[in-house]
Amino acid sequence: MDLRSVELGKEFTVKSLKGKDSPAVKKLTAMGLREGKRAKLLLRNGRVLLLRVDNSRLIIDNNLASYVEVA
Amino acid sequence: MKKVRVAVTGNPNVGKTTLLNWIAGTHLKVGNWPGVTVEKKEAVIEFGGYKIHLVDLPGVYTLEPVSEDERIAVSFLEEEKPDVILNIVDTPNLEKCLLLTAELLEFGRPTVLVLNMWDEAKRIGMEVDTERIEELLNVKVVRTVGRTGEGTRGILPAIVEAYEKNMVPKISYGEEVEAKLRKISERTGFKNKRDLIKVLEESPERKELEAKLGKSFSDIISDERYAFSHGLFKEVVKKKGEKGRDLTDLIDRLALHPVLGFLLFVVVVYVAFKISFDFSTPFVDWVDAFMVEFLGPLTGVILGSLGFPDWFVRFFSEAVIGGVGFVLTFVPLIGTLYLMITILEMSGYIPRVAFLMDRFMHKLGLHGRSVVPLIMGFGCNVPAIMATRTIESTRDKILVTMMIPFMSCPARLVVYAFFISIFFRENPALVLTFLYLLGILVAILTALILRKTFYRGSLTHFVMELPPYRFPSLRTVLTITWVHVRDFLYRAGTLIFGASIFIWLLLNTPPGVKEVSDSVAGKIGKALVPIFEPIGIDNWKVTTSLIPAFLAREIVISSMGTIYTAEGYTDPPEDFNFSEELKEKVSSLGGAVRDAFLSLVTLKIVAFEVEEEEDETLKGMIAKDFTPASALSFMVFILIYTSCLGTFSVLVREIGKRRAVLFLGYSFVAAWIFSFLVYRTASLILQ
Ligand SMILES: Nc1nc2c(ncn2[C@@H]2O[C@H](COP(=O)(O)OP(=O)(O)O)[C@@H](O)[C@H]2O)c(=O)[nH]1
Ligand SMILES: [Mg+2]
Repeated sequence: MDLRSVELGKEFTVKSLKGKDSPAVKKLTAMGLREGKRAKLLLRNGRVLLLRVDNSRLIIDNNLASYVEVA
Repeated sequence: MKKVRVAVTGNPNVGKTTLLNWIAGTHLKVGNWPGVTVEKKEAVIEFGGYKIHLVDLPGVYTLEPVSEDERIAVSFLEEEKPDVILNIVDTPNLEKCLLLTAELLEFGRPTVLVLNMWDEAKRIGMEVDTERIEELLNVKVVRTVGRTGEGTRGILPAIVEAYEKNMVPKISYGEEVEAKLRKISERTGFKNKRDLIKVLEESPERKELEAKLGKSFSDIISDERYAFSHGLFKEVVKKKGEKGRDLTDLIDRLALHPVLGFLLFVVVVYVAFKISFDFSTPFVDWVDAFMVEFLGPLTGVILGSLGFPDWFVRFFSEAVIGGVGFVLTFVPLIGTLYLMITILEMSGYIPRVAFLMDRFMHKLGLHGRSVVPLIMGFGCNVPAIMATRTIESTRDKILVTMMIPFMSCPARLVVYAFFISIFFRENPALVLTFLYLLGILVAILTALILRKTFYRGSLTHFVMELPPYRFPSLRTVLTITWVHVRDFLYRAGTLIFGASIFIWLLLNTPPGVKEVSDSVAGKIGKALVPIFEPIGIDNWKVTTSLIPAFLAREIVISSMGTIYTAEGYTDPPEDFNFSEELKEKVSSLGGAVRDAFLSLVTLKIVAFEVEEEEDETLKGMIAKDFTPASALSFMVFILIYTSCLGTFSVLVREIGKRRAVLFLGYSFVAAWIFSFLVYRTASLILQ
């Protein structure tokens, strides 16, 4: 399952990332969302998701979220 | 003195600009959203017998050149070869920050690692072994708290030490990769990792490595970097610290709520404007009175009694006091507005709007993130346009760039404040809201037109970080506000003064011309009248003022000041009582201070409401040539037409000359059409 179907307020682990050569995915990894990381879905507003990874908060769009396989 | 060039690097929001302010006490702009430091900013300080030259690079997460920001940072590091790299990290987010650190260490330059936000790290119970970092990496480590300045004194000595000892940092990757790099080093003599990796990428060994490790070269290298930063993190962080639910989460529940968050946004904007206007108005009035009733007559009397020629006394009164002085009146307004904007910027609130507005921006074919440069546009269009460099997609960048010039900046506010104080004293808030919203509407229409015509394309992905809410340091906020005010004063002293002289000369050509309307200025203005007549501007004095206003919008006010003073010129008064007037001005300043603070306890915007009729003053003279409808139309014209040299030149740089010129023409036509509509409608309503 990918990040889009995570329930609000739930923690998850990043299993893998698709499209690793795309700039957005590279940026996402650099911002801390890497394979094996635990993260939490804090909020959802239309097309955007708010995540918490370690001590930082990231906003990503739904489309990009579909590149993130989670468990 | 020997020069030491230092590149200041770090992720966005790590406190880079705040620290620079502590070190250099200086001129650097600070912000709390990703991408405010997009311009290359510098500071030079003398320390320990060196001239230390600091260059603030854009905040980036990695050196892989994906967006313009990263390209700027990489090319600076590669081409300018700084003597020392100052790497600032946000300690609670150390693990994430260390990726960039690894990439920076590869350059093999002496490095100083600054662990900022040490206070936050302590609060969450994080423990970092800084000596171990120094030992492992052969770098200097400094711990700092940007908000209070704690530890910042240690930065310059660390830079000097790293430089003098030529501390080459140590960084090692996995054995397979290192073995290849060693071979290449023997073959080529290269030392630093970055060069070695580049050679390896082009050499036949690359294939061997890829086959052996079973992944692509770029994956190998980036995995090595992650492994290095992760390993280092584990080694030096004794306690990770646990961040419970904090204040930011609490505020975000309100601020990011789809409905309440929107209301909060409206309240925040209202309060910011309310304070800017109401707090500053008493001071604006005071400065105005000071110029017109005190400084003007005083200089007239002094210059006259010193035996200066008549034309010079007139020049001084018309171009200097009438032109430049008139614009200076608005310094308190500009100052408080910038203060508000800076506080908002540094508090971390602005990027939240990106999350809130995404749904709406999506309708325009843009990401929520594009809202950030648009909001910056309310502070000044120029840095806002430069901030679009963080946008990876060219299409999005162009769309946003062409929306920004319609965001109403403080220079436009000077023009509004002037007309509102004459014609709309009853409803200042209504008129201002109308103008700001109209600007936004034109921006939206522009985006829609562009999207339907030239820039169809689809959306790319987006990801951005939301920094925690932070109390900005008062010192930094005041420094930045002062930098803006200083810019405005500088412009008044140069550009606006120049424009005033220019206008004054036109008014007095041919020499000895009797009626100002017969001067060259009058002739040019009259030739332009037919273009502006349909929008209610039928006076040559006003159309003439529009020409130099292309340099900066507030010049329209200074030019009108010069022209009208010239027309209504009266000789300096005979009976000017210096000490009486001075006493009066000092005591009225006290009243202004009281009024300013009193205004803070009311809820309604009251600015511009309290002023008595004035006829003989400059304002009174200008007022006679406008009606409420034509004043409104004029403000709309100034709002929409990109009458600003700074904006035009940054447009040329960012989107090219052809597009910039087309855009200028477009903004003129749009301005004319909207002014026409507003004028016709207002003429019917406001009688
Ligand atoms: N608590 C705390 N806040 C800090 C510290 N350093 C900077 N800040 C705040 O963090 C915010 C972002 O700082 P800024 O200098 O704009 O970061 P930049 O994006 O890296 O230039 C501002 O509100 C600063 O006042 C620090 O050491 N501790
Ligand atoms: Mg900054």
